[in-house]
Amino acid sequence: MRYLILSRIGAAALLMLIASIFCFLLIVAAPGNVAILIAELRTAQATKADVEKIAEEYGLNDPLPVRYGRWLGDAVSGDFGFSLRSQEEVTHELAVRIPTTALLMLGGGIVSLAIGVSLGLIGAMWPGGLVDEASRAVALLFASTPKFFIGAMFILIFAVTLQWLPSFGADKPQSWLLPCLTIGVMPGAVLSRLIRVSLEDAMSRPYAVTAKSKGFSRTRTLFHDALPNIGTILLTAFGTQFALMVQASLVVEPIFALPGVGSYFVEAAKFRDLPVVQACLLLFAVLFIVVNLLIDLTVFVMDPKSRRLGRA
Amino acid sequence: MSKLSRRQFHLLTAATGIAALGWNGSAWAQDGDVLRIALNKPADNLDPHKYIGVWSVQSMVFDPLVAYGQGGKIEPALAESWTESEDGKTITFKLRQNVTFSDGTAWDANALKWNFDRWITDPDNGWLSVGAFYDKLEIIDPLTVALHFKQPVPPALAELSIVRPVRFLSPASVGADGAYKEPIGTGPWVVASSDDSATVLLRNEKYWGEKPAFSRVELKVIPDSRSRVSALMAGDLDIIGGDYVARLSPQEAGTLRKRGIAVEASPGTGTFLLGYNPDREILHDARVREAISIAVDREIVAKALLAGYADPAIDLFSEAVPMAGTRHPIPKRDTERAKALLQEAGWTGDGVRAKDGVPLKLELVVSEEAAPGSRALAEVLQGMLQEVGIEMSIRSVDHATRHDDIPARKYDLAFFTTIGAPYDPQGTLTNYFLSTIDSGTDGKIYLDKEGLDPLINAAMAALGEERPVAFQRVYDWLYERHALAALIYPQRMWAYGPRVQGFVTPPTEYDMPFKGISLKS
Repeated sequence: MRYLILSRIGAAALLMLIASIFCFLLIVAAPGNVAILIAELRTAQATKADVEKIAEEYGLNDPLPVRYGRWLGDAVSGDFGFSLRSQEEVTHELAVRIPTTALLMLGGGIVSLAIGVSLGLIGAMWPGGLVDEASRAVALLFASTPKFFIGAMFILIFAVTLQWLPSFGADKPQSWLLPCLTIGVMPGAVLSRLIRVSLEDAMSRPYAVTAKSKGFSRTRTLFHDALPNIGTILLTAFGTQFALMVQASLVVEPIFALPGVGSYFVEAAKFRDLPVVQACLLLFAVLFIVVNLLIDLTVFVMDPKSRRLGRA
Repeated sequence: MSKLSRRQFHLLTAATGIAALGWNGSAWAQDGDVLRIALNKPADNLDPHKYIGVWSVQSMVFDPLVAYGQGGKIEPALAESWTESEDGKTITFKLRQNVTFSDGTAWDANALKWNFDRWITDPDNGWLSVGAFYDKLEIIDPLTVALHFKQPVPPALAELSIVRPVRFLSPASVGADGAYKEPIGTGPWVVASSDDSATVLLRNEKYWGEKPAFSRVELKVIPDSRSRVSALMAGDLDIIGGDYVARLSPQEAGTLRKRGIAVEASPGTGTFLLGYNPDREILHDARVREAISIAVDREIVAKALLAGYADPAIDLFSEAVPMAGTRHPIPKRDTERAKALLQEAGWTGDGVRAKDGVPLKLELVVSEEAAPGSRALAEVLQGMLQEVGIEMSIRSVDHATRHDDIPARKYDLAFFTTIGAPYDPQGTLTNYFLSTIDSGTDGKIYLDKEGLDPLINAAMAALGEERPVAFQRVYDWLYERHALAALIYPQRMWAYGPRVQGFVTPPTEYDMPFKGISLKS
């Protein structure tokens, strides 16, 4: 068991290192000269000599491995350098913005689980019924609609037409409702189908058949026997959906003007603010790997079968 | 196991319930004393001597010596009056009395000198003539200063009216080491708080000029333009627009108008033009340049790029720019004449024309980020040029790549936008047309060391009544040679909600609209 956990953590660490190399290389390979962008900030009309001076100053002329080593060394110690655009410390800026994104993820997670579990259960409780068909249709609709469209529609309906909720911002509790719904409905829809199908599968397993033959009601069998057995599937799928939500924050945060990591990343990418883009990419990669690691470990704890298989 | 699951399930149902409850809270309270304007990015570091923060926010807090009024009229601001010497080398300013910075520091000759010392000799500011030709500052008395230059600087007053780096910061606001700490100016607004989501400004009760009619401005950072439009429609914002504040696209303006929201479109001070690579042999022939220029239907360009929120152009500057010169008639699209010109220049044949076996192929470099809508416009131009026998290919690049390729002259044709008020006409003429000035990433629109440089230099040095005449010579020279194809003057667009009364488009795109506005509660 301990060996299993340690090897899983080791693999995650290796993955992070590889991810860091990709974060670094992707940015370096992108077209456009950063030195020019910085020079433009310093003076209204930058000359070629200014650009050369800046390239030298920021070490942009050094060999790639040197630049990577310098960047990773600083990053590991929590120093992501300074934003090229605002000249502020990236680490500080991230620290200010992470709570916003975390709150959005939490809200989105709750929404997705709420939608997923309720629609999935309703479908499984009355399979083939009107509700099942309707929930299937709704799930399909939400799962295949892009986030920016869902967000825009929510704003149009709830903020512009009905004027129930603010159209942007994070300064009131109700401001969070639309962003969390927008980010949570798609994963919710996907989870609902998964839960619905897995429950149906579990209901045809011998233990469910036995329960039913004992005279227990369908509802009781569903909750008591089938649901616990799909726990690991649900958790693994939720991990994937959570990662997608992190990705979706890039779309959802700018729509609702939430000052989180997602909108920070988008602005930085537009401007080619390399230290910020690299820091955000690395943060996303680490978050993704850590969430998956945590879920794998939880599954080990929850499910004796996976422990046995893992050891073998 | 099953027990745990049940508990989990109850938790989940509870969460569902909470989420389903929703909110019935109506739209937030509308404060009659607060004007809410959208910003497309955080206001950032507002140091008036640095090139980082958002111009229009700096302009709300920091005053200039002289202000750029509507139509380019230079008006008194922190200087009550001024006199220029005969030789044009000295300007004497009489400073406004009883003005204090919002921290209580007095505005006087010493405060002026302290500010000038922070930027005027810095080579980074050499692009300003007042910086490049600065000689010395003479304090005559606490409220009178004379600014001496090494040579006449006719655009000096216009330059001193811009936002940065010429405006005034309180000398007491900086740290012990002289480093910028907080934005303290003499302007009508004082920054109360500023972060990534909003900048809040309060009315400066000590302001020397006419005080705004409301006590608070909230600048909300909304990076997404659709969201800004929605927020305006929802009543969560009062004003959106401005090229550098939170640009409103023509399509969005149309949507807003349909919903009965006021959109103010006023004549622009910038020109959107097609430039020819000065190094390209093919384009050295004025007949080819003219053919391209008249093969373009400017009315259609205005529609394609800006849904009609633009005026067709032929002169380098629009009438909204001071000393923009006489007007020439806007050419109608004339494919027959374009074909004849190309024929005359030796480009013959059906389909794609050729000369000495070389086909007439040109590459247009466009960046959607640099000019939204330009990619679609490029396709329109492609069709127009094809009709006269020019094969134009389109290379679509991002902003950063454009910044590499334009100065490196890796293009045949490219779109440029003139700098606009308050920098023009001098800004665009020197930066984009003088061969002796390094324009960095902006590139050059047209170059002619022997023909054009002396004319521009003469215009820059001309004094008094000579100035408009000298500028006219430059314009005529460019016009006769078809040195560029001015296409349209994009209009300046702002939209505002029903609470806003008396909206006036600010004098430049670097100003924030608040003057003259009152709020209906």
